[in-house]
Amino acid sequence: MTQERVINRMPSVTWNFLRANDAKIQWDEENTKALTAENITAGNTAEPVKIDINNEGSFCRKIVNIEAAEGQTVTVIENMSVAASCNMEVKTQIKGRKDSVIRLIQVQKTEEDSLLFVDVQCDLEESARFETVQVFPGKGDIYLNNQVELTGDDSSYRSDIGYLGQKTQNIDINLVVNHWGKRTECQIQADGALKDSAKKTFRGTIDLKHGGTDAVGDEKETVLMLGEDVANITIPIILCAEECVQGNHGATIGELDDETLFYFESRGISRETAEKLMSRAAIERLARLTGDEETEKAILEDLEEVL
Amino acid sequence: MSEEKSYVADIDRSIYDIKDVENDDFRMKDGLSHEIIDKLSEEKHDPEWMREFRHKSLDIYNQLGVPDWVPNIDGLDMDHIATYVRPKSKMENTWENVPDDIKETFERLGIPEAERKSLAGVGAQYDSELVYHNVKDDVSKQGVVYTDMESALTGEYADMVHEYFMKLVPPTDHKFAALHGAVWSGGSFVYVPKGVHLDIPLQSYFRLNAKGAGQFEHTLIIVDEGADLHFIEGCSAPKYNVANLHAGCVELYIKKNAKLRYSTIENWSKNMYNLNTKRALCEENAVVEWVSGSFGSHVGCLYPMSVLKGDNSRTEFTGVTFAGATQNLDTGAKVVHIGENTTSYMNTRSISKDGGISTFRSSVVVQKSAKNAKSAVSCQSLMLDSESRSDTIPAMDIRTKDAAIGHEAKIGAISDDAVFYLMSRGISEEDARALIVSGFADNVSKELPMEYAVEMNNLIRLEMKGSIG
Repeated sequence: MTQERVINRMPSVTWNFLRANDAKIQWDEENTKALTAENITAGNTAEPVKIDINNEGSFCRKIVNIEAAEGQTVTVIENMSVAASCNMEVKTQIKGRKDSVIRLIQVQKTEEDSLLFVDVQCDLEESARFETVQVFPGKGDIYLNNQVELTGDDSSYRSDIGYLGQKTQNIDINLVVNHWGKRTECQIQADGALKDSAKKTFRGTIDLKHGGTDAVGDEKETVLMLGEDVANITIPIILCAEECVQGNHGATIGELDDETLFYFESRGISRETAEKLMSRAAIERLARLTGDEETEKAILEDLEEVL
Repeated sequence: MSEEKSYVADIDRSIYDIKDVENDDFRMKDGLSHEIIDKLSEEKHDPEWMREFRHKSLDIYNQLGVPDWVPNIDGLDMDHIATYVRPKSKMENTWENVPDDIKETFERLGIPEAERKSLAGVGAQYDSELVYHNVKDDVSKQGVVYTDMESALTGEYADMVHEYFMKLVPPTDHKFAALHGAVWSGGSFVYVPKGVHLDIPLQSYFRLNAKGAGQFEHTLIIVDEGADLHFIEGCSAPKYNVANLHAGCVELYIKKNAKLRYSTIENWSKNMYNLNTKRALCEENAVVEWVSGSFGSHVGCLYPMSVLKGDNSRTEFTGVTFAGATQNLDTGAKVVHIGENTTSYMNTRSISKDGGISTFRSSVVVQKSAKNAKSAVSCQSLMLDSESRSDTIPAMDIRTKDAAIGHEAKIGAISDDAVFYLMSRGISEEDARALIVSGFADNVSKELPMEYAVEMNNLIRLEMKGSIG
């Protein structure tokens, strides 16, 4: 039997009338199938580790553990597919040892009327770096929760998120980056487009902890609103308990601005085509960022299908 | 100019902290109950509808919980708050007739002087009642009504009060709006007729002298079509070792083509729980501008809200918050875009020092009907030490594609280079830091009339005293 499950709750909540402090999904814990867990320990290799994660049954959960040893680099590509009427949770737990670099690329391909909950937990030691490229050109509902602990001094995190929401799709994103160490850095860039009746919620929290001197947190979001019935909620939070830090946030939400539109129209490109080009742009940028030809091609094919 | 400078240097916090001997005409027993509501209603000579309204509001208060997102208010115990304290003075329209002790308090705060120099009318509230109210003759002759709420409730404007009172902020809005509905007293009623432009502002000043008491004044302003008003609100209280409460309510109705600027310098004492609610409803082409300086209170929750119902209506919110030792100030603004071509702009600065907590909280809601809505939010926070906190929690809920929404936030410290630059020109470190903080807050001070800008800068300098070492 399904029960309400509260996920993606912000560490600092705000007005309840906004109904955005967390997300609620229906989940059948009793009948959740545990898929075979993956344990990846990094060796220095140029080749990415690729994992195809497909749902099994109505409710399932996959756990992926990644540990990068001191000084090592690893790239993991997770291709996640969920069939219609199915629900899948993918929990990726990451430990980055001193001076390691971990790249996690998550690509989603879901059918309509499906639900995918992507949960990423990462803890970084001194001078470790974590990069995520998360691409969501799918059709089903997406819930994304990234929790990153910049524990070690000089550790850093880079997040790139791209999505294309359409029809009645619900995209719900929660990012929390805790700056514990000194001189830690995070950069978050979330770009996407919403069509039809799609709804997107973005909660991004940069938490500059006491003692984490000279930390820098930066988040930027651009949302292109294309449908008559779209809805966008953005809550970019900066929490600060340290004097010598910098926290920045910028968001731009709306349809194509006049200047961009004029640029296209002066080159004979219609508004409709311009909007299509711009909504592709966020996904295409991330496709290139994956650095893997096969993954890039698959993302662009999915994008064509969706568009 | 040189006089102003010496005034800044000479200002003393004691003008706010002087306590008058409590010499009340009536003090309600502490706590909240229907019996207390009946007694309050009797003391206030309420019409029957208001008595019923108070009782219903108390029922709502008892049903509602404290929201989970607000700062901790455990130190506020309503069983130890007197909800109504009437001073031994009836409302006068000349300062000479106000009792000496109360008059001296307002003189120290500079209210009569400001009235003579630069105000079109003044209301002065002491504890739960207005003790002074006056409006210049030429303003009255234009049909401007500026009176206390009690007179408006039972006099010539009774129907208007009945029509508008707590319609914009209903008691169901939140627990402390319900509390206000139950125990409100004092405050001002303003009506500016069609087409009337007031060149100089009206001001209400609220002083809470009674220990362990609450102040629940209600301000109701209606600016009719094409009219223009600047209303200034000031408040202060001496510091006690027990909690005081301020849960006022401000309702502003700005009709077609009208404009209202509402300026507040809040300097409650640091034992005060300031849980105030302010809201404006803008009709077609109407404008509301909020200018807000928050310096006092132990805990503060204040988010003036603008409802842009009419097409082409707009709002601006300009605010500065300074949270020092023992203070937790949760401030910001809310806006709802309903009409087409509506515009909102928020520009805020927050400063945290000596363990103070400052939170900027905002919401921009753009409904589907608000085609071509535009909104920009800019908030900057300054951390003056690592014992303090500064949080920024903005929210945007956008339901139409035909909108342009922008937001930017920055948190950081005072630049060492800027301090060094000023010190290299012979300015002490303390003065250099105070100068930088004053400059940081000039978005608000430049929007205030000169006298109030000077007071605000004085408050910043007071807060910055001893900030080195």
